[in-house]
Amino acid sequence: MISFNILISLGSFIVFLLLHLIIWRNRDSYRGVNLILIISVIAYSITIFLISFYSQSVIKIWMTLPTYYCLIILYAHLYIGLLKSVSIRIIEELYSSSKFKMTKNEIDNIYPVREMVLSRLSLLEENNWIKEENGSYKCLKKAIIIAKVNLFLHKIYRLKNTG
Amino acid sequence: MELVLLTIAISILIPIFHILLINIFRIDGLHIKLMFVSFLLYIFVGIIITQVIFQGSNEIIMYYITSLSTSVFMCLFYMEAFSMIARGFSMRIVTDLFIQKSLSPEKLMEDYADGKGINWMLEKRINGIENLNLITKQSNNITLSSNYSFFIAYISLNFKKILKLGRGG
Repeated sequence: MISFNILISLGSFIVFLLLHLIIWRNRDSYRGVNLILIISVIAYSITIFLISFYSQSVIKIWMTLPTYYCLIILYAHLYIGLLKSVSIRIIEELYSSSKFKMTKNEIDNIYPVREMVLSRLSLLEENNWIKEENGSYKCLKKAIIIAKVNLFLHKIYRLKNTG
Repeated sequence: MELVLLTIAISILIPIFHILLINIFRIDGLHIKLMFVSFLLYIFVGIIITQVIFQGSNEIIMYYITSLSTSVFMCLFYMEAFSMIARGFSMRIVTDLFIQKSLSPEKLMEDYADGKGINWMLEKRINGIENLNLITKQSNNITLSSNYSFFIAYISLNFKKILKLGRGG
């Protein structure tokens, strides 16, 4: 019974990986974390439906679901880590360079921090977190709340060098 | 079901343990290690609760697996949230704008992270991977330095290629 339920979790995860791969290779528009979550629900539902259809065994949802979502969040960490991490990007650039060596200036050129800040500001403005007035940016209501919470958390976690 | 909900409910212990440990030790740079200590304490509490509630049950191993899976899920969730507070780029920008009331993009880059400047952010990342012995810095040159860093780069590049993800970062 235990191995059967673990197999369901693993099976659902394999279905998830297959769906994820097919969708990511054939879709050019939005492919973010929310889509990963939607696919994870669909993959689990498909697996449970198929197993209920072909097997008489009792499926323990409250055991298979946590194990399955444990695998999903592990995968999501890997996905976001590889996709967003600046450190990983630097390692990749070094790997692709000749003799696996680069100067600090070369890294600055392939990773222009100025453009990174400007694109992030545009994104924050687009999502109504901040607004531009006379060439300067200001926080809007939800950004003010988040900033206050963030400063409070910095205090209780005794965090100094954040960012 | 009760066990999953109970394990989720007691995940409030993770930040409690973490904050307590940080404030007991008061050493800079120990935050991540203390976070993992908090995870172990939380998982341990989860196992004890499972043992107490389901002692004698025929399916006790199944309950342990459920408790452990839910605990790991909550730990990873917490890890992501803590990473956002400690290292989040957008979060830092919003906080800087809030502290300074209003900033131009140039001034924001100059004043980023309490006046350290935007280049400090890239330096911090480079120093971070150097501390993990993935790269070495010699004068102005940065070099890949371990088999592990080659492995990470290989996996990462192929992962992005298979999923058509672009350069990332």
